[in-house]
This record gives sequence, structure tokens and C-alpha cells, in this order.
Amino acid sequence: MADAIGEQRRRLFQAEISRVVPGLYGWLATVATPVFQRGASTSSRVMAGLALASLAASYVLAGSRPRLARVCGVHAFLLFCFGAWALLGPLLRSDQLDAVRGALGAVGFLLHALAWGAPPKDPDDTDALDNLVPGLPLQPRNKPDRWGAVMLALVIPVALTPVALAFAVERPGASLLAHAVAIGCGLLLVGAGNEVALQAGKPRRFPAWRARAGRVLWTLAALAVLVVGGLLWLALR
Amino acid sequence: MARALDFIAFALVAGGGVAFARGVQALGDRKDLVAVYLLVVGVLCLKAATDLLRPKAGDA
Repeated sequence: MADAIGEQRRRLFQAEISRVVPGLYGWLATVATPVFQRGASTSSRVMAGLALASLAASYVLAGSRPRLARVCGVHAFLLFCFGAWALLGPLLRSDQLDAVRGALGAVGFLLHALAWGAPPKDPDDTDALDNLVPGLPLQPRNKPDRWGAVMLALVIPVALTPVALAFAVERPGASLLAHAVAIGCGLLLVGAGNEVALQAGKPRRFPAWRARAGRVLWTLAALAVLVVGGLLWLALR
Repeated sequence: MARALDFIAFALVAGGGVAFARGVQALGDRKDLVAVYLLVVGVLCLKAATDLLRPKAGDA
């Protein structure tokens, strides 16, 4: 019995360590390195110290106060990291930063997000499992429809098209805007395509098709007005 | 009919992609008004596509 409890504690300890280590790595690579070099402001160093303290607090509180640990490990940690970067001033210029270290630090922050997105390892911790992330419960996974997978595969090149076309915009002052707009469009397309692909082939859960079509009546009407107006403008100019 | 609506939704997504692509091209051609028009058309296409399939409260 004592061995089982010890084993469970050891696994919990490892789980919490694996949750904190990616954030610590990201902090070391992208926050501590620029903040503790010569010329950095005291306020940015204080922010960096508070970020580290938040991460440590998330580890300490993980067992007894999981929600507070999450606030410390995710929200407070990232807030103080952003604060440290914002207060770095001229040291944040691209020629002052190491690109490779920054990229590795970004991977650390990615793993940090994935670690905090994972469910708690302790199956008995019902308080932590019960709606840890506020909001509606997430939908369970289900097998996607075959046509849904085909749709998603077709949407990806469609979403990449505006991003590729943005490289052809050579107009001064508009090329950066074109890239920003194209990336936004690509993200919108991937999001909408993903939603359509996931919902395709599941009509049985919805009401009659008339209700589904009626739901988009106003949007389709606005779209029709725009398209007809555009065609008229083309014909009359 | 439900399958037809699935394909209409996909066609709307594809139409949105075409509108976005043409809108980015229009930005490069100094046709700012046309670019804004096409981007609005693209957004409406995507909204119509997702609203067509997204379940709402009380649908079940």
C-alpha cells in the first residue's frame, strides 16, 4: 500500500516537473538571456523575476490549489514575460537578439502551452478534472466523415493561395499589409474549412434542412446583394 | 438534401478563398476599394458556410 502511494506520488511529481520545465526553458532562452545582459532596465529584471516566481508558485500550488496554479503558470507567467519584453526597450531590436535561441525558446513556449493543456495526471483529482477550463464542456472526438477529410484536404491549398499571392505584391507600403491580410484570410479559411469538414456528414443531429438553410438567409441575402451590386458596377462603369 | 447543403457550404468556403485571393491581388494592383469589397465578400462566404452547418442551442 505504501509502495503504491509512493509510486503515485512519484508519478505526480514527474508530471508536475514535466509541466514546468518547458516554461522554464522558454524563460531562460527568451526572457532571462536578454534581461540579465548589461544595459537592461531594472523594471524588466523585476518582471522577469516575477515570471519565474509565478512558474515556481504554479509548481508549489499544483497539488493543493490546481486552479490557482493554472492562473500562476499560464496567465501570470506569460503576463510577466510580456512585461519583461515590453520593458527591454532598445535591447529588443532584432539585431540585438539571437534568432536561433529565440526559435528554441519559442519551441519551449509551445511545449509549455501543450503541457498546460494536458489533463491532470491524477485520476482521483476530480476537482481538477471537473471543468478546469471554464466554459462549455468540449465535444468528444468522433470519426470524421470521408468527404469531410477530402474537403479539409482541398481547403488547405485554397487557404495557402492568398498567402502565396501576397508575395507578388510589390507596391511600397502595401506589401506588408498584403502579407498581414493574407495570413488573416488563410487562418479564417482554415478555421471555416475545418468547421465545415467536421460538421459534414452529420445531418442526423440537426433539424430539417429548411431550418439550416433559413439560419443563413440574412448572410446569403447580404452576399447576393454584394455580388449583384459588384456585377452591376462592372457592367456600368 | 443534407449532403447537398454540405457541398454548398464547401463551395462557399472555396468561394471565400477565391475572393480572398483576388482581394490580395487587388491590393497589389492599387485597387483598394475592390480589395475591401472582395475581402468583405470572402468573410460573408465563410460566415454563411459555417452557419449552414454549425449546430445551435436547441438543435438536438
